[in-house]
Amino acid sequence: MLWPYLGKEVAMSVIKHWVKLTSADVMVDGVEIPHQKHGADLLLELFQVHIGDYPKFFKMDALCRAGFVASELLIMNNLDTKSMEGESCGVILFNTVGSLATDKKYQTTIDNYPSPSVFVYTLPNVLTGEIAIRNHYHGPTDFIVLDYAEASAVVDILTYAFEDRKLNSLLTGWVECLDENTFDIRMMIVEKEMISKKMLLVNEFKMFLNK
Amino acid sequence: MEELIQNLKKEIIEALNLEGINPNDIDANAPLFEEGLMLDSIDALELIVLMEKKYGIKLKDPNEGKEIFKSVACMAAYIQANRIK
Repeated sequence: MLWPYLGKEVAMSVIKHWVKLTSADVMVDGVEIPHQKHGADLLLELFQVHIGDYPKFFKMDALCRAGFVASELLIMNNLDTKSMEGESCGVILFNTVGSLATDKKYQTTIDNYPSPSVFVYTLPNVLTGEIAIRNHYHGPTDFIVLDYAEASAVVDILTYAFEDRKLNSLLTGWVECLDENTFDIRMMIVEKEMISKKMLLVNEFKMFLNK
Repeated sequence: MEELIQNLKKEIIEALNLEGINPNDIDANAPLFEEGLMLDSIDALELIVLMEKKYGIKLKDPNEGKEIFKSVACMAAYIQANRIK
């Protein structure tokens, strides 16, 4: 785990739709998603069982696969999220290491034959782009690297993003991936109206990151 | 030529990470782009790297690519005529 486990269930009053996807656990809106595998194999299992028919998945790096699968699980099971699209929706994701796992992999290829497809994924905002393209979100997309998971900094950034009048919903959250078998994704939908309950949102975000 | 085509299919699957696809699933004469395997521009770059890495062929004229990468059979024919390795 990348964050300490607090040993308690957290009731969400502001954040309605969320997904937690780690190397060993999958939960959407509080409901556990059954699975057999772990790590990279878990992502493949979730893709094959719940998503499928999207060959681009096989070209994604570990960060992108984990974030993409989490976003699909978050969106697909809910009418509110399925109907989101257009300029009113955006994607802002965060982590502490960018795409370090793929950067390291790419570094091993540059002395010989650099791989163009690995190079593409040395940018973490490829993930935000993939999610936006897949779901027809035409609002802002950003991938922001912070020193550590600080809920208040994240909510400040979201608040600033919502100054865009057209923007109503953001798919946001923490997307940490250290290697293909070690990832921890905490993703959620934040609506513009939630920003008015800023302190609650910060507290829930903080608890959600530690859940 | 048939052996080269079979090897090339395996190398393409490996280079492009085409999980779940077997060499026999690939029609040697089917288009690689837009139809068939539906490859994209990044895949095209990977195929250029593959040609240099495995067969010592450096593509100098980008316009040549359109013909060379039309299908696996076209790639194999070009490799057979120009390979250094």
